[in-house]
Amino acid sequence: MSVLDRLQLALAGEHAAIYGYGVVGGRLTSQSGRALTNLNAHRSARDQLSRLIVSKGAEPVPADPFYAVDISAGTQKQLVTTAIAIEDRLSVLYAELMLENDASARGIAVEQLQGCAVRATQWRGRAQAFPGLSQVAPTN
Amino acid sequence: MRPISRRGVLSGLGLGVALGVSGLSVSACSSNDNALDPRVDEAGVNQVFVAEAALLAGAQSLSKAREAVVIHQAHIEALLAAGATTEVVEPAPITSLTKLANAQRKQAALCARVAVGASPRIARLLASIAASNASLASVEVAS
Repeated sequence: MSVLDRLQLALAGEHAAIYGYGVVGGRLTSQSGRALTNLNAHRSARDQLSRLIVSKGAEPVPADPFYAVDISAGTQKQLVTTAIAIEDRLSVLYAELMLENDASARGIAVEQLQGCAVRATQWRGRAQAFPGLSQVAPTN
Repeated sequence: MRPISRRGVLSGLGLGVALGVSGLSVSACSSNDNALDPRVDEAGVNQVFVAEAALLAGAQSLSKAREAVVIHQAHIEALLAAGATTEVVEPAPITSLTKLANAQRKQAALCARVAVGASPRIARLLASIAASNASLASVEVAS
């Protein structure tokens, strides 16, 4: 996989995160402000990734018109769980972007991995030892 | 200052197993990693290791930082698996959660800086440790 492939994957992940936070944030009663702040952080990350992809001569992947977001239970707890899942999945993509020997890509990855981990911690109420790594450990 | 052996730092470890990270720490930074420059990796990992040992000692001295103790121990275990070889010197005490959070924030910045120039799997590990320290800092500040 090339650095551009991984950048496009991260961008696709940010598109999904933005959509997901739109769904979650509109339904949260007590933490909608945090959801909005996080939504804006993901918009910023999306723009950052898009600029880097363009600078490398490629066209950024567009957002899909729709993403499946499971909010069937409709509880506040499920909404928070969904927000955590958004951040955790993106953390994996940014951690994998670190495998590329590209300073500009790594610069974004290391910054955004921290952002995802901090936001996940805020939702979860506790930190993790290895954000972005646990799901990829068995295959490496 | 009194030197602390690596074995001393390691005493009481094994919590990585409880966290489910022991396999990760080995696999994430295996010896067949294609390092760009092994000296860069070694120096960077050792630098992060020393700072992480200081964070562990600081967290252990604070009664309200148990979560941080577990996580910093796991980081140290992973860094040793990644090849950390430095003997650490007894660190200065950390006297409050705010100071611990500041030190964790500095460690996040150090890890991030070293990660950008490291070999791929070391880079990924250090980026994750950076993120973990940034997360811990946000928790300590909130508590």
